Amino acid sequence: MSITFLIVLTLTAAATIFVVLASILLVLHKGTVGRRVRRISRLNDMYAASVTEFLAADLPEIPPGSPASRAFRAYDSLLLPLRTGFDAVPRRRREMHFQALTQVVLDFGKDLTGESVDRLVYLSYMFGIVDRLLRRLTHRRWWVRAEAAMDLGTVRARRAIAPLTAAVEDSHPDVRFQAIRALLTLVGVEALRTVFRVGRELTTWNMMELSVDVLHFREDAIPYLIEGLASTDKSIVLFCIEMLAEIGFVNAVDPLSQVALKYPNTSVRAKAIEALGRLGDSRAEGLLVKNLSNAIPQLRLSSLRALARIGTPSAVPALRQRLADGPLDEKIAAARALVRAGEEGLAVLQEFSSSSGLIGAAAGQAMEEAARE
Amino acid sequence: MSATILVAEDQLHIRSLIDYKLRNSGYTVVCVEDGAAALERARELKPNLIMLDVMMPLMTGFEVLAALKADPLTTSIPVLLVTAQSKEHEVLRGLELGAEDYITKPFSPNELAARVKKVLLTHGIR
Repeated sequence: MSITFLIVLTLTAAATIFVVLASILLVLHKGTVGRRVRRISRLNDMYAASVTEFLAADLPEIPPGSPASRAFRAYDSLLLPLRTGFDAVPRRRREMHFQALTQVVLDFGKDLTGESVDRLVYLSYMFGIVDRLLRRLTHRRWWVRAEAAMDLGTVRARRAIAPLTAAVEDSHPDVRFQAIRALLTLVGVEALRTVFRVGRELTTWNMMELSVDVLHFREDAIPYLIEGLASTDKSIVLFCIEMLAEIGFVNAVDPLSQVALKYPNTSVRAKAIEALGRLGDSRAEGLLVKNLSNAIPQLRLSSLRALARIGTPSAVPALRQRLADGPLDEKIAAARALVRAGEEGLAVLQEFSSSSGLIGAAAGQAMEEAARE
Repeated sequence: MSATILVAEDQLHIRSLIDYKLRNSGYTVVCVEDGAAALERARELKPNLIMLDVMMPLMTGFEVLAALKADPLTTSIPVLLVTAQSKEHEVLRGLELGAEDYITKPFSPNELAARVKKVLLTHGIR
């Protein structure tokens, strides 16, 4: 037999043995995982039943004004069976039981409010769930920190307020975002003050999700949104501008005007101008008309679009000039604003509609759009 | 004889909690985990009250509610809708379809029991 044949034979045999061993190990592993999953499922059901009893059981009558310790003593007596059972679990299985109990508490925490939440919070403290989550909030892996922040909000652990405030300045955006949401759950609308003061680099997705929470607060959020306009972080300022426009608080005209005039970033100023248009308040007219002669094209265009929302005859001369002298996008925006500026605006459009070139085209297009509406 | 309440809720832990709470309050409780089963059981049992979660598999709470109100056998059974907190349009739609009352998630089990009692009392059932 040649050496080559022997080598090939040996390698084939080795590969076959390897595949067989790997298959056996995979089957064993799958069996182990399956058993673990079934065990966890049984534990979840068991703890779900125990926690259900704890949450739904009637308490003895506690007179109003009684110290919290009376309620806690009542909770303790309800928790006794669960506590006894948990303490009897062998040490090597304790972690699995703890995770099952934690998951059940989190599941309930998402859907409950009122006195039931007080019971859940008490349970979370008594079984060390809050302590564990606080430790995980400083874990070196960002996804562990983010999940811990989210879960601390779910279990309503007020002891986590200070650590969560620190987590708002975390290096990872998802951790920062989960900390913000947890603080809003724990503290309420007042958390926005801290969030806007120390928060930074909100992503577009963060802003979308956070907007749901802020819009839920509506007018209560306005003082904090106005404070947030002074943030040094561009994303925070953009978010506050968007929320003020969305809520439609017309008294935000002054602070938004200040941002439109003075903020060092052009896109933020343009956003503030757009927001002034959305608010539709005539107090912004002066600023918008003044910006029609701004040297920065983005600001001129934003002002034209904002004036199209407000519709004011006093802007007609400046709009006429932009229609005559501006680039195409400004001509179109100016024409649309003239449509909304009343009889005087329409007269200017009529005058220009017979002109040749881009001016006539822009005027004609705006009049056609108006006719269609 | 205690009032019978049909509870349609797909989340197991919430279903168990509502079941436990209402049984503790003295009601007979029948639980289902999807909309189709809710409709079927409602026609079978004709319970005194039906509690419907809006988001359920197979049939949504709205579809079940519309079907219940369209059926002469079940139209008079009061329905309590369970909706998500941020969804005002769900509440309005449910009330328009004929729901008696609603409760939003996250909810308090004590408040839930109180609302059930109120709806039943309104219909002369103790």
